[in-house]
Amino acid sequence: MDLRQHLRTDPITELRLRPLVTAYPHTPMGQAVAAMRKHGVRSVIVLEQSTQKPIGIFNERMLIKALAAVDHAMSKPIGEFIIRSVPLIRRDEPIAHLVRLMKRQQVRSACVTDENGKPVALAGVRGLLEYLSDFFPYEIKVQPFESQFGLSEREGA
Amino acid sequence: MTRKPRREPEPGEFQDPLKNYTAEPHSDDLERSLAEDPLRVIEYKPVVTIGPEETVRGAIRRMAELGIASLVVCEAGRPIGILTEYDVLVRVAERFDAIADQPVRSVMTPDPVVVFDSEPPARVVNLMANGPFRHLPVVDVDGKLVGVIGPRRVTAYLQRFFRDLDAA
Repeated sequence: MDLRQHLRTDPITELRLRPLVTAYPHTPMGQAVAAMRKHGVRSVIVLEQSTQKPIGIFNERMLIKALAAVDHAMSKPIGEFIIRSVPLIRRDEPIAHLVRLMKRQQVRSACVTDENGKPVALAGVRGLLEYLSDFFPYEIKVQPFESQFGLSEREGA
Repeated sequence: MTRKPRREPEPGEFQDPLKNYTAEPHSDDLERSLAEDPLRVIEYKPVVTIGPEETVRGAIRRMAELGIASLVVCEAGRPIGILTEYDVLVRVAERFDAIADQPVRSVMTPDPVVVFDSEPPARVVNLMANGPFRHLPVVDVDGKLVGVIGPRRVTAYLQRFFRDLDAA
């Protein structure tokens, strides 16, 4: 089975998913940023408090816009800065659907839901790259991690 | 055309152990591209740079205005640091009011890992998948900055190979 077939059949849960961090529209931005740092994630899913349904997403890009636009941004409610459209994907959908979603909506991550639509995790570019990296280990995992190009000093002899 | 018969080496003559080696053909377009294509198949331009003495406030404003996720901090055309969205999240956001007028040098990630424009795309994918990197300055053989690669550009590169998945 080649990569494309795997992408069409492997469910989203085959990717390493990131923990879901949530907030409400009235949550101060500073509190949401602290949660993002603590859990090592780049996005927060904002839920409607009464229904617990996702109504928006707050990410690093919105943080930068907020810092540039208003004074004392960290004390403002997060709801003023969210994108009111959450890319959603069910956890039993194939990975190909995530690739398509990222392309169509120009997003880097999506909120993964269970079969009832309840948000459970985040899926993003990094998880996809890890998946590819496991698929092509002889091309990808052999690459060096440092910046050195060739030898720093001339070889002896 | 007939094949020339192979000459047997003389006793003591060097024999190349790889002379009959043929590399296995790649099974997939993406596999071939990851290993063999030049880095320019991932769009790594334009790149926005900033000087190390510019203020944190100025850097944040520029990122917001241009809608970009990273600024490469350069001196004499060489990258000495990088300021990314993640740096802003972990080092700037919570104390922005206190450090807004400090130089960007104080909050950037210094000496970033760079990729050379002569390297294959697989190096970028490895660094982003298996290392703590999401934005990588691209330099030429002299170490001069020529571009930057982030997750969005890598995604755009990969999506070229997955066009047929639209029907999935």
